[in-house]
Amino acid sequence: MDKQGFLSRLEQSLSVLQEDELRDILNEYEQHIDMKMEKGLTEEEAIADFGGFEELTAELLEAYHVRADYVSGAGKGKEEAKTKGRHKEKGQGLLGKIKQAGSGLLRERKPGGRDRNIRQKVRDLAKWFCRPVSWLKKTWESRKYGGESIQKRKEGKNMMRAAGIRTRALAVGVGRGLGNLCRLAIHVILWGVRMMWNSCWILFSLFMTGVSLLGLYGLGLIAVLLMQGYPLTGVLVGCVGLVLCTFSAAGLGISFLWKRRVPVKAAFEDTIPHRRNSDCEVREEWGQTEDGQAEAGEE
Amino acid sequence: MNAQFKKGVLELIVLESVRQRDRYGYELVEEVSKVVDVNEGTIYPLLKRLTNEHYFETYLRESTEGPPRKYYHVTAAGILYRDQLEKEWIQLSEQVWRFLKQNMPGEET
Repeated sequence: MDKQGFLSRLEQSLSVLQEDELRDILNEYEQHIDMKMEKGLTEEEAIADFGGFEELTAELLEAYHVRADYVSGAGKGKEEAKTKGRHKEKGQGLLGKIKQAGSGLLRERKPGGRDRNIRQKVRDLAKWFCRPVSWLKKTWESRKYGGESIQKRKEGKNMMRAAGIRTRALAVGVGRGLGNLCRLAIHVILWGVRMMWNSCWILFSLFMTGVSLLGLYGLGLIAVLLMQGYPLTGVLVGCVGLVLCTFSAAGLGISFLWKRRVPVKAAFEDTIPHRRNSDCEVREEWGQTEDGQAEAGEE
Repeated sequence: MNAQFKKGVLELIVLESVRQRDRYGYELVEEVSKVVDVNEGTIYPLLKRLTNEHYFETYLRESTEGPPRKYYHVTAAGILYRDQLEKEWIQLSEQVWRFLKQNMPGEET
């Protein structure tokens, strides 16, 4: 294999990467080969020093957290269309590799594994249907038991991983959608309750304030009448009592309003950590899948 | 030498040689080859990975001969990672050494 052949083959194998990254890699390898040639080696020798081509591309893809067997599977399809001869010599190694990695793509194509494939599909489907139910259950448990159920959820996640990436994406989507819906409903209900409660107390306070203002007005009136000599001392004292009473009642109503807000706020805060938790887990899950891919690449 | 041995310490060697001074790909391959006889193809993927994980930064610099070269520079995170790897390596080699020593006098095979 000469330099151009090597570079074009590399380009083809890494076509899943972004254009500039791909150029970067190709440049680096080209420069390396050039420098080797300056030292007096031939193109073939310089390329032979890179070792196995498949290993090289697998490691490069691993650096981007791309599953190597997926890309070489896709690349194989392309090559099949273009050159059949080269495909055959390369196909053996690839097939072994893909088989080992247990790519779902190939398992579908392989006629021998159809039985197992259908069973797997049925299982996936069942899991997919069960997913919203189990999600609800888990959410309920997490509200009930807190930290303990996180472990359970993780176990669930492990099962999910086995169920295949596509199914998982769907299921997670459905689960998250349901979760959002539930959260929204709870928020709306809480908001409604708070509104009702608050408006009740506001109305009460307003009414009481009105009454006390009226009482104050009456107080002034009675005071004037008292000045003019009417025997209204008892009524005046009663009126003062009424004004004080209604004012304090209005204050009481407002204090209820204020006190009510605190537990509602706490309830809201109670829901937020759950969301944070799930976000963290999603992130963690991503990390794990990346690790998983890295491991697959190493194999 | 066992390929698995090399693979494990390769990161440490690469990080250390870039820490000494900024180097470009080919130079780095040569430098690493002095320490362990390594397959040249594996260095570049490693450099890519370390760059993607922000342990290295890269910049281009003109060279007197040929096209500009891409130099690798180790970041603060890279130095921290290097130190951690070094610690792990020393610990591991000590443990293995202690194990080997302990078994040596009894059964010499």
